[in-house]
Amino acid sequence: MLDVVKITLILPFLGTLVSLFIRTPWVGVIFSAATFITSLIIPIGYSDFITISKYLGFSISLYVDGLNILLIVLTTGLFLLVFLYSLVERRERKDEYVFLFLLLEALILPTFFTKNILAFYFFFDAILVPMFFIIGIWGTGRKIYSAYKFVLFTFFGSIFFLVSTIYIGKLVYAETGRLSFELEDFIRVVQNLDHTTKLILFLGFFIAFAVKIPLVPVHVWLPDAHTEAPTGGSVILAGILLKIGSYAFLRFAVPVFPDIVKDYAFYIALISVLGIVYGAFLALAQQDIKRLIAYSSVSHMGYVMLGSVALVGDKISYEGLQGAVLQMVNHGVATGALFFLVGMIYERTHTRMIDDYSGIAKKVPIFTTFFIIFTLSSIGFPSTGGFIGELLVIIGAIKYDTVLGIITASGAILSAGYMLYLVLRVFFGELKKSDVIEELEDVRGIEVFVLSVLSVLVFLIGIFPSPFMEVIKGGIEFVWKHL
Amino acid sequence: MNGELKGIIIAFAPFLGFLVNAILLLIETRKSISSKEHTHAKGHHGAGHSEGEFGITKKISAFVSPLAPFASFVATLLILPEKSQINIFNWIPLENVNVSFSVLIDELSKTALLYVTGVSTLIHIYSIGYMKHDEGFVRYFMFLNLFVFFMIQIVVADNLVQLFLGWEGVGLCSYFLIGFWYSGYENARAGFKAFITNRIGDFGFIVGIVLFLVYTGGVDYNKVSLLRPEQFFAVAFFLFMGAAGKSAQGPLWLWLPDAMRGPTPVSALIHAATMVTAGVYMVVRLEDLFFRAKELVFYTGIITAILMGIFGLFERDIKRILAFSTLSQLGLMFAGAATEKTYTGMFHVFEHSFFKAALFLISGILMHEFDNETDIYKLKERKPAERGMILSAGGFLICTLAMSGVFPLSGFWSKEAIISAVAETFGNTGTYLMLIASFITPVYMFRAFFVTFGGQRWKFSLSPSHDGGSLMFFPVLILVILSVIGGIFNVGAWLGEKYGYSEQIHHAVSPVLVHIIVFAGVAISYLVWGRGKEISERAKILWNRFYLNEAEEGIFIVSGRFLKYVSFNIFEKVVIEGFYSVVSFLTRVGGVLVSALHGGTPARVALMLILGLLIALLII
Repeated sequence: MLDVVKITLILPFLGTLVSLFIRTPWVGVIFSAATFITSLIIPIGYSDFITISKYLGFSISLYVDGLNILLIVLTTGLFLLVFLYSLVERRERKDEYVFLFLLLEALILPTFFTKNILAFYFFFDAILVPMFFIIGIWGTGRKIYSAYKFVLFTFFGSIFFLVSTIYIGKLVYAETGRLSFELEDFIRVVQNLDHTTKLILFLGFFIAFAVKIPLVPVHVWLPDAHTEAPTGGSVILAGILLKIGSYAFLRFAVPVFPDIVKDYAFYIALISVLGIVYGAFLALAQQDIKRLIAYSSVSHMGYVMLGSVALVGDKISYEGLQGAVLQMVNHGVATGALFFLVGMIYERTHTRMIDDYSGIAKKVPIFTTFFIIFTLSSIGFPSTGGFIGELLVIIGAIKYDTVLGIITASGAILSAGYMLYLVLRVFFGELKKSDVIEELEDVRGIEVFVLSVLSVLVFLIGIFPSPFMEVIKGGIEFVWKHL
Repeated sequence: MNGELKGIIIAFAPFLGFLVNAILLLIETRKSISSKEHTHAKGHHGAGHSEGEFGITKKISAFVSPLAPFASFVATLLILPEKSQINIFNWIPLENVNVSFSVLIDELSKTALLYVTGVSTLIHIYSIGYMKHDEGFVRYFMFLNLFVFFMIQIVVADNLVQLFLGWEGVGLCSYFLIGFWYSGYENARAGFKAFITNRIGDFGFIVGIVLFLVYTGGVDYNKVSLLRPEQFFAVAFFLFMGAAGKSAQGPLWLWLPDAMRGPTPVSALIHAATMVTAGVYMVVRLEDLFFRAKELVFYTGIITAILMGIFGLFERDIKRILAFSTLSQLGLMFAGAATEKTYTGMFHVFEHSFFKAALFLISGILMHEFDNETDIYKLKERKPAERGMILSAGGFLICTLAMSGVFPLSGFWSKEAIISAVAETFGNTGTYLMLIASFITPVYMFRAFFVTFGGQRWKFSLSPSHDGGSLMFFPVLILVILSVIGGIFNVGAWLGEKYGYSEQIHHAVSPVLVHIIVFAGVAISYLVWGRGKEISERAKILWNRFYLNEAEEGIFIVSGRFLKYVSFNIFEKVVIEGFYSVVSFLTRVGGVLVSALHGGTPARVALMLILGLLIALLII
């Protein structure tokens, strides 16, 4: 039976097929728009199966609750904006670009829908294929190196994940005689194992997710991949791909290994806080605008992870979880938008070095305004989404451990430091005297539309967070149920 | 009109003004883009159109912008007899509690609303005259209106998170307005410095809020009573970091003198009359909390007051002298707020807003008249008093006297109240420190006055044209008059009553003694600077303020650079990337070795086969 979820999943696949025959960027826009619309009407609480093989009794579950619905809509929305922007982008081999991005969307969406861990693994790794080509073909600078680095790191992590998955799958088969990789079966089987086995299996999950998120010290693929990827690629990488790791941690790692997560929460929290501070200092050291924003992701994802493990008693704190999920959305919106902005200016000037700019606020006031709006969300200015997310995470963190919480809060100084120092050097001061800067033109048309949509979202989440938080509440119940 | 509507007008009228200005700015930008394209197409270059021209967008902005704070002011006047708490909407739902967005109207917020909206309105009007020829006219008013909106949020918030919203909001507007002429790198840098220094304070603030929330289970002010005694100090300490940041107290003073790079009306409104007093407002608002940390607040305040007074002596820039005097006066307000009679601090905030705003606006008139000259010695050479700038000269004198606390001007009442309250709470040490601070004020302020206006034949003329035109003249006149008669509002008694002190001033220190000290200060100032001479400029260490600014900034920058160097150049590039390089190298070596096993002649393959079999046999 076709329903809205299945249509949402099928549409981008259909789009990839169509894009092979009708070679225009409009295919991307139309199919991603249709996907976006159907994703908006997905009912929360949806639960269904797709049977893959009747003989083996193998089927894949689809499930929607408060944990993934916002990320699904974020995914379809960001893809729509990427395709819209591709209409005005100057880019070679555009039809292949559209094909690969539709394929990417088609492969990303199932990771958010399914509770089947093997299927999740399959798509988790399949994503690497289109992304590899997107970075490798349309990237800049050391694009081949970056593409390989990205794939090797992620693949390295997911090998362990696959081993853990198959091991537990075998246990399920031994117990029930069915071939099942469903979350519920995994939970049931794993809880009877001894502590050491559980820890080893957990590490298989955790390493894969940690690389994806990324946590320090397995983050080194991120700055290269984010910086060298083409604009759309960076937007999707930062906006969505990173969240698959943190989402999977909450969806799979926590329910399957609740006691391991509780036992080792402090260490995970520690590396998350380390990531917040360390990532911020790395960002401060950058000379390249895009690389700076890439490193800021390391810092921001630290908040997400910290919120996900901030224990209060034997539960993960309500505020921490709220903050983690909300911060995933905020980061997707704000950092996605910042990558759009960097892409737009790069297309005009072909340089991303901070020193090649100064005083351009006078030249490009609208661009500047947008850049500052997303900067504000990035540094957690109240009335933007970033503030709500950070505040919630800090509440969770201080409830968990006061000292960790205070260090986390100091991230606010550092983020303001690197972002506003960037703004100071690029936008303010005397106008740089160089040909490219003299000729610089402000954003217009579709560019303005893309940025406006995202900036409305920034303030919408910041000023009226309650509907979003109400939705996330359902996700928290999911996590708590399994703790 | 019911109370709820009035509350909403108070809280949101300036935001409407901001929106109107934002739209006007958008129209202006679009117009300039299209006209640029137009001239481009026709091949004309450099047709400097709207610069200096007072176009339609500017006209609408000039009309709407002052109206916005004025609407709030009128609504405040109307709401004066009432007391209410309006919940506008639930902002952030937490686990067990909602953070609401509210308008709290009580004695304290009404006092603050009166001067915030009142002084704002006057400075908006003044700004029309001051900024008339500036290209960024609409942008200026957009941020000014936004500032008033956020400032009002600080005042009417009934919980710490909404307070924080206003807190960061005014900081942001201050950032934009300090760096208003952003083409000058130093201006933009001053804005950046202000924001970062404030962020250090706000880091403490947010920790304070969260500790408060965790300890009491809520963020509303009235939850203070739920704190346990051992929790008070930590919460107070962190929240006070926020207050010290915004009010530039203690080690966080260093952003305020640099903030004077913004337009002068901004210095008057944001960096003298309203925003910088937010810290005092918070201390008074949460008096039950800060009373447990009163020594911290008092000594931070009084030391800042004395030190900044001394710094004010060694400064030639009139705006920076006024900035130091603001820092010094803020210290006194904190001293008052730290006493049992916290309202005395607020009382001084109220009176201070008039004379300090007036002083800044007067310096703005001088700058406007004399090509942005701010050096007091160079201003003197232009002989402002002889030109008939009587409002400037006379107003400056009156406000200086008011600040020194001379009877019966406005400053007298509030300063007297603070001295008495300090004497009661902090005994002799506190009293002596207060008297030292009272002595320094007239010395540095009269220095500025004597140097700028002394030794000239004053020409009397009360015509607006001499003092910047009517748009700038009348707001200043009103503020000067308020500085004179500020005492009659008797805000101190009103607030005091609310706090249950029927007899508000209990003269612990004789006002006569205070006056003797003040006039001794004036006399010394006259003896030293009355002839317009400067004391030795060779005292470098004093002229450089003990290099305190450089030292603090240096430590901050050097440690930041060091940490980013260690993180990136050493840890990231050498340790972490190095580790992965080694791994990748070893993998490659392994690859080469293994592939060597497979290649080669049939003889070698046969050798390997036999070796492999041998090993297998040995293991079995």
